[in-house]
Amino acid sequence: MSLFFCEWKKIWNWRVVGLLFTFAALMWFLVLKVDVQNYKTLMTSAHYQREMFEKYGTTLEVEELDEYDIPGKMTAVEEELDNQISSDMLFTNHGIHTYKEYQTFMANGMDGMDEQAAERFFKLASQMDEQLWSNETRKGSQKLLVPPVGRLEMLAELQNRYAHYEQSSALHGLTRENQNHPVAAEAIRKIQSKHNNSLVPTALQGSVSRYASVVGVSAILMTILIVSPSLTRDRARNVYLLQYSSAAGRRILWIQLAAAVSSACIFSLVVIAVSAIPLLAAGMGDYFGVSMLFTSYSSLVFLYEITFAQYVLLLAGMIILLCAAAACFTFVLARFSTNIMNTILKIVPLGLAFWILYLGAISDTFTPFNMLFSSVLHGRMVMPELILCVVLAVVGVLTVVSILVRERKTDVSS
Amino acid sequence: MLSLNRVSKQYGNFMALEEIDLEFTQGVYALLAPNGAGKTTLIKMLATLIFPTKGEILWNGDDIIALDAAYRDLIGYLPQDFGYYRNHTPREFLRYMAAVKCLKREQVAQRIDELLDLVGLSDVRDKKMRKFSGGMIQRVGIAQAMLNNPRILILDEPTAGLDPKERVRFRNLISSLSKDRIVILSTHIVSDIETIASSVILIKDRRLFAQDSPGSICQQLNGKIFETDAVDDLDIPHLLLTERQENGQTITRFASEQGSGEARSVTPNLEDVFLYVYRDEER
Amino acid sequence: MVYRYELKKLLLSPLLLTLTLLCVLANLTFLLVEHDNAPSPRQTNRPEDVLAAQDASIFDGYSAASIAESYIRWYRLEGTNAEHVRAKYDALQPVIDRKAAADEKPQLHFSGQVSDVHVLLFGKLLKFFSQEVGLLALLTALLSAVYEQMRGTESIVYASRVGRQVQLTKLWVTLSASAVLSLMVIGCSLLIFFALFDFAIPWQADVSSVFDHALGETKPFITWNDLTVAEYLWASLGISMGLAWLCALIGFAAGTGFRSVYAAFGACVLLFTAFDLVARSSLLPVGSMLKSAWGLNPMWLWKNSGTWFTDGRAEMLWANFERLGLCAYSILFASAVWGAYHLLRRREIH
Repeated sequence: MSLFFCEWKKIWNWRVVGLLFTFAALMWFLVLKVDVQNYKTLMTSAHYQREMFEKYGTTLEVEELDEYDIPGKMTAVEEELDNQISSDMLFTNHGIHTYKEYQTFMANGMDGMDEQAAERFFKLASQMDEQLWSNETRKGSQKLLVPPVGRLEMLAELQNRYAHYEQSSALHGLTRENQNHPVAAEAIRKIQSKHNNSLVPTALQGSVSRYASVVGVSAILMTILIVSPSLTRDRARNVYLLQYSSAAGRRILWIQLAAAVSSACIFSLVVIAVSAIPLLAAGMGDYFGVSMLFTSYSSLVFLYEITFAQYVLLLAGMIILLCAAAACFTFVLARFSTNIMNTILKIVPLGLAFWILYLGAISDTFTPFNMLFSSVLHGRMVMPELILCVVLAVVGVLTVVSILVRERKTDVSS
Repeated sequence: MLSLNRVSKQYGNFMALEEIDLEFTQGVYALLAPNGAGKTTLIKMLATLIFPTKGEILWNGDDIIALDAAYRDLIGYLPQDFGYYRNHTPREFLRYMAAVKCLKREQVAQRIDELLDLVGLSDVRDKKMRKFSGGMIQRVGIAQAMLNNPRILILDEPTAGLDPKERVRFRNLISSLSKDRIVILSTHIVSDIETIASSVILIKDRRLFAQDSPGSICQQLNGKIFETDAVDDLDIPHLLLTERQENGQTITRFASEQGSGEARSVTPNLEDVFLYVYRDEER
Repeated sequence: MVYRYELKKLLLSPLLLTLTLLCVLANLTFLLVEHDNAPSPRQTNRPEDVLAAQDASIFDGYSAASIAESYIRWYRLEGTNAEHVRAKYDALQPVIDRKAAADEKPQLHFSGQVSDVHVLLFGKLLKFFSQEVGLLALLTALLSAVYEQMRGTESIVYASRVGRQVQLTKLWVTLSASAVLSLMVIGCSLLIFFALFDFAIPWQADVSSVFDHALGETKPFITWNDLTVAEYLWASLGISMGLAWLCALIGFAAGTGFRSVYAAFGACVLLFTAFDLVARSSLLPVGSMLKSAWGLNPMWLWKNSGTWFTDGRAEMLWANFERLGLCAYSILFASAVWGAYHLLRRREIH
């Protein structure tokens, strides 16, 4: 056990911790903080949904939808908009007194206009649009942070999502592709059977997915950087000759592997835990019980009937598996490197491969937009991202184990 | 002439060498001191790899740091831990070293062949060095140090790893080379020094302790070195030096200010001097 | 003679050659996928499209100010930052007027798939291989700078006549080796590209009038200088090569300046991460001089390879920003190399 801790201490030193902190600080201040702020901004424009969630819990049943009365709320907001428009000279000067008239004006667009008239129309439309969106945004009340036109859009989206989900073009479109995308078809069937009743905020999945991509890729790359030098240093300084001829013998490689893989797992776990704190502080924890399976803006957003908590746990598990796989592959490359520069030349392509793999096959996890799911497997496999992570971890472990078994009989020359 | 004027070397709070004054003209100069006494520090300063904290090293009155390439052109250096390109053959490696020593292209091939012959590596001149023994690698190192026919040959533990035959050959080589150049070598193998060194330099407590010919240095212990087969009977203050087996008896060599009983006086050698001078460090 | 030996060390390094091969293979895979996904040329090369394109005159009466205003609205710019953006597009107006006066007509090239192929060649492939050669150059430089330390031959080499000046030779060797490896990657990638996509390219046509849209945007593709398609391609390759050399300088400065190879590598990783993350973040507002100056870094230039020689969107306030960035950062990192070399000259070799 003490030998294991000695190997652990070789991986973890103050310089490594310093490097990690610098990297983490850069990531937080320049990327993740902005992501969290974006999520908070998106959530301020989802307060009707939040209201429903607080009132009805994780699902919205048919009678609850009726009770919430989205059409009634839309009418009230439209009246508010009519008042705003009728009191604004920018609109009244052009014969627009109600929101309906504004919509008709915009819908007619530049039909039949010459170039100069079209330019004038474009300018006017922009001004009106800006006026409608900015009029009340800076008032102090939290509720009024979103202008009426924004609230109307929110209500329209909710109406579309909960009342008219069956007419959703995406659902029909995807249904036609049943044969090609059986997993998506199954998801649609489930959504239809439960009346698309999940009260999960639309922004939740996208925000978490983006955030997890940054955290995941960073954790993998840092794992590769942390794990690689310790084994190579032993080989570069010929310490391995002493190790192999000691009582521990070549068994030391197993201990070093255990130290590397456990470092990767614990490191990734810590990274995930620490990076989850700002998300929990932003109130994401409230939604742990909601189902992620829903459609929004006429498209299928998520594919599987799992809760947000399960989704987060699966994402965390996948990142840990990938970090463990990266540690195994790095270990193998370090075993065949005689000095640090050799290792660097090998871990750079490995890091890039993991990066590309994550962005190409893991990001947009469990959604129909995941490239592995849609472009490669054409929707025929359930959770291929998770399977890929497991396969990579297993292949990594098998590779390193086969190398270590072979090492028992390998002639050693300095 | 190569001279050191009050040269000191300090690493942080640790003083490695203090106010060393030395002069090298022609011949073999052997640095003799225990491990950690500053031999390699001194050698590396002479090779311009590290720089004096105080004092100066001069070649014919010019500072060697200021002379830069002109000085390095005069030296041949074999370090203690000699690195090499494992995938090169001796010939390829020496060609590269000839390039960094700015040897004329037309001289290189012949010079390399001569040197490989001299160090007994002609047969393996085109074999990769990855399979070479420690002694063979050391011989490649000696060859590279002599490539530019240096005026000053600096050798740090040159005979380490060589077998007795190779060591004798190397000693003869150094001896012949020293006729028209300065050879500075540090070694623990006293027999190497005794036969070829014209001057022995002893460093003790970070300072120059003595610099003289081996004979003169040994003379300082004349009448103080004895041998006996009954060391337990000794009743005088003495310093045990070495022991050896002879005719089934253990002969003990010791140093003492005066003789005692059956102990017989013997001629001191450099090993006796080394053990006597550095007895404090050895304790 | 040292130059030749040092060059041989790098160009015959199995790991560098493997990395070069991997870059070519990655580009080959990418181009094969693109080739499979590309629509048939006949579908887009309809006669009416050709005629419509011949009638259009994309620069006639076009106002650069409208581009500026759309950016100002998009980024909600105010005050000085908005003025900076307006000033840049005001400077672009004479370029547009000159192109309009020439009355050039857009032509359909690349068998009609103008935008797609432009995006593929200049937007994607160029970006990929410029990043690849940059990375290769960085690693080549690191390897070259630490080679003697890695092999334990520092002491004998530094005690030779050439001494620590060998590092200067190594710098030239690094630049040469980077150029050779870059040419291998770029040459092979372009060969594959032209072998897979059969186009009749009008090399002498003005690039600004050939492509009707800037990459990923609706504004016209306008270069500051009058460049033909051939000149544009060569100029872009020149910038790619320049960026590779810039990366070589960064790697060499780190490899020479840091005693530990791993610290040098870590410093490079941190530097490039900082380049990217600061440029991405909202710390520096669009339209500010600082944002523009930061955007001259190699990471931003790589990520925006499709905008080289054009206006560079609102983030970039200066004309010819790619050359400016290349020169500015080359001077900066050449100074870093010089500083690192002087550190090495004073460094004690233990």
